[in-house]
Amino acid sequence: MSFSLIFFTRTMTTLESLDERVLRFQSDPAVEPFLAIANDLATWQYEHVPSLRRWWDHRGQHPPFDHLDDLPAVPTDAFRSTRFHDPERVPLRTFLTSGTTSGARGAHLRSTLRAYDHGARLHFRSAVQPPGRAQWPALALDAARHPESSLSYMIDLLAADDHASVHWLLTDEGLDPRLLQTHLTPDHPVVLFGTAFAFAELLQMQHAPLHPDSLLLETGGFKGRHAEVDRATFHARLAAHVHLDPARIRSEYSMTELSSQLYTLPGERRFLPPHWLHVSTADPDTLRPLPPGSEGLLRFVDLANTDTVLAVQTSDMGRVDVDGLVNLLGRDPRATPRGCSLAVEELLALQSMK
Amino acid sequence: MTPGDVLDTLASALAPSCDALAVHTGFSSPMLAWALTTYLATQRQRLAHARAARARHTTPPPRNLLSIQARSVPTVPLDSLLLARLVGSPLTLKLPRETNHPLLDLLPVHVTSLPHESLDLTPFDAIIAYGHDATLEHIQQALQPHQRLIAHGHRVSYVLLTSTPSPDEAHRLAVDLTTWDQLGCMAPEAALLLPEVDADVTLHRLHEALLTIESLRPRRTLSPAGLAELHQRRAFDLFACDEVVEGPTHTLTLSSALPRDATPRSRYLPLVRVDAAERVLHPLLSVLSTVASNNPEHARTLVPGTRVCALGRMQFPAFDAPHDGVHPVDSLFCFT
Repeated sequence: MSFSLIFFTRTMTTLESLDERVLRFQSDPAVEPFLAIANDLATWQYEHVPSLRRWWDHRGQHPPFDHLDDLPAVPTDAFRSTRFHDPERVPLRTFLTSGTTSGARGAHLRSTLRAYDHGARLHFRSAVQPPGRAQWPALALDAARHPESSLSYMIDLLAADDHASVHWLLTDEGLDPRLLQTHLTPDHPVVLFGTAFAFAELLQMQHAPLHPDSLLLETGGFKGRHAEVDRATFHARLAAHVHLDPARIRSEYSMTELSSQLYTLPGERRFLPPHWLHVSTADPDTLRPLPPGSEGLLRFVDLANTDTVLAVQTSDMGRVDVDGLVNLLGRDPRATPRGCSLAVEELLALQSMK
Repeated sequence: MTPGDVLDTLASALAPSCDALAVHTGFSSPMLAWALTTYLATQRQRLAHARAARARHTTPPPRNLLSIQARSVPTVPLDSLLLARLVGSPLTLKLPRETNHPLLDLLPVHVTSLPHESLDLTPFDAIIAYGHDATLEHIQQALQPHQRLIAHGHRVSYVLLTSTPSPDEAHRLAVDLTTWDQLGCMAPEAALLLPEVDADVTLHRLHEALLTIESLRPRRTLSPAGLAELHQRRAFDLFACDEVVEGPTHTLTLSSALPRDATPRSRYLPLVRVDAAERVLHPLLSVLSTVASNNPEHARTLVPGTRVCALGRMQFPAFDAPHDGVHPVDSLFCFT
């Protein structure tokens, strides 16, 4: 047996055992401390994920860590310029972030999705409690045709767990009115996931009222692409449009770089994270951890990111209350003023349009 | 009143106000004091030079000047006021609606915040305007033939290093970066390094110079969004660039390609190795504002019509500088 094969076998075993520990912890948080698993995952990731090792070396911080907040979180933009994965492993799936003006999309390469799958099912069942015998249309792209979409993957996974299959209503051209007429009816409850953009498009279209037990799950926010709309106002308009109690409209927060999801509770604007996702805030200036209850940039330690990046730093402002619920404050609309200058690419693009 | 008197009056009004201005603008008081003093000294020098040269322009001075301001261009109200005072014209400033510029408490100007479509342009015979190209086109279309417009649209600036900068040159480049915290179109998008430049030495010297200046004249406070953008960009560049040097309030990157997307302008400078600067600059000729270089003569041959200056002078253009490669503002006036 060659050295590389021995090495490969050893790392497979180690990651599998870590996966098993995370799965047990997801099912029962009493089995061992969060920090113990986090440190073992951090050690594995430091040894096997070169880009992460480079980041932590750059920050001069290495496992083990005394506190969860000591983990140097990787800013999400780094997923656009490098790949965080064990090069010895063949990725099972590559999730891509949505496109940006620069064209560089972030990629999250996954060689195991066991903790993702187990955690997504568990937290959805406990936090959302979907209606029985629901159908699952989705304002999202077909998961089979778009394997790069982590949202579509998650919807497909949750529907399968609910013994349903998904009817994908979003095409590359937008929402399909014929499919809306077919699948959005008052005859049966639906669990309807979709991005805020897709729901905004739905508001412009005619379709039948929904069954009162239906559940709408809005995800993604607007992130500056549309005029900012207060989420509560948006949900109220949506509820009126589909003839649902506003409490039947919930929000989900996650991102391609994470494996776990947060959901709002009924009648609550704050988000509930699963217990295997540690949420904290960091000082926007220094990125140092802030005490609970402080507004800052949200950062996550996600145990379900077993094979990639344990700690992720976002650009989203938020606050974690003492009860553990997360306030999403969105992005500061006062972007850095750039004076009278535009980026070169913007200028050249404008020139070419003339 | 002579130009010198105008400058004296302005200096005496501004000098005691830097602390108050700092509160309003977010710039540090030492940075404001230094930048305003340097600005006024620069204009004094340039005006003296113009007078000594007995530069004459046949264009009659305006009788009623309107200055349409862009957001976050700190010296623009001063420029306009100074010009108006020099020619004895009343001045109206048209500001973005939400702007409450602290200088306005100090300056003898009439201020309007009317939107463009509601602004009556007929009383004005000369208009200086900064802003989006579309805005400027809109203004141009609304003018009568006798009305003169000096329009400054969106532009970009670069630094060109033809040899490894000396510590003094690095210091002056650091001045260009820190003045007004890299806001405005005269702040460099990137520094282009010709093959003769030792990139590592340049990075090190510039980093040291920035540390020194930033300790004397601290940068302004950024919004959480701006700070988050910087952190994200630093992480991106750690993997995308050959080298990243971070200071408490600056980031320098070294690469062989221009950034693909907008860099966070404040506190950030990409150093880009290039074989030939013209490959980068020529496609941008029509949108270049300023090129600063440690070899201005060489730079002038590359970018004719563009303002070329020495290092350390980027943020202090004279009235007679071709600000955007178009008309200098002094074409409105006659110096005698």
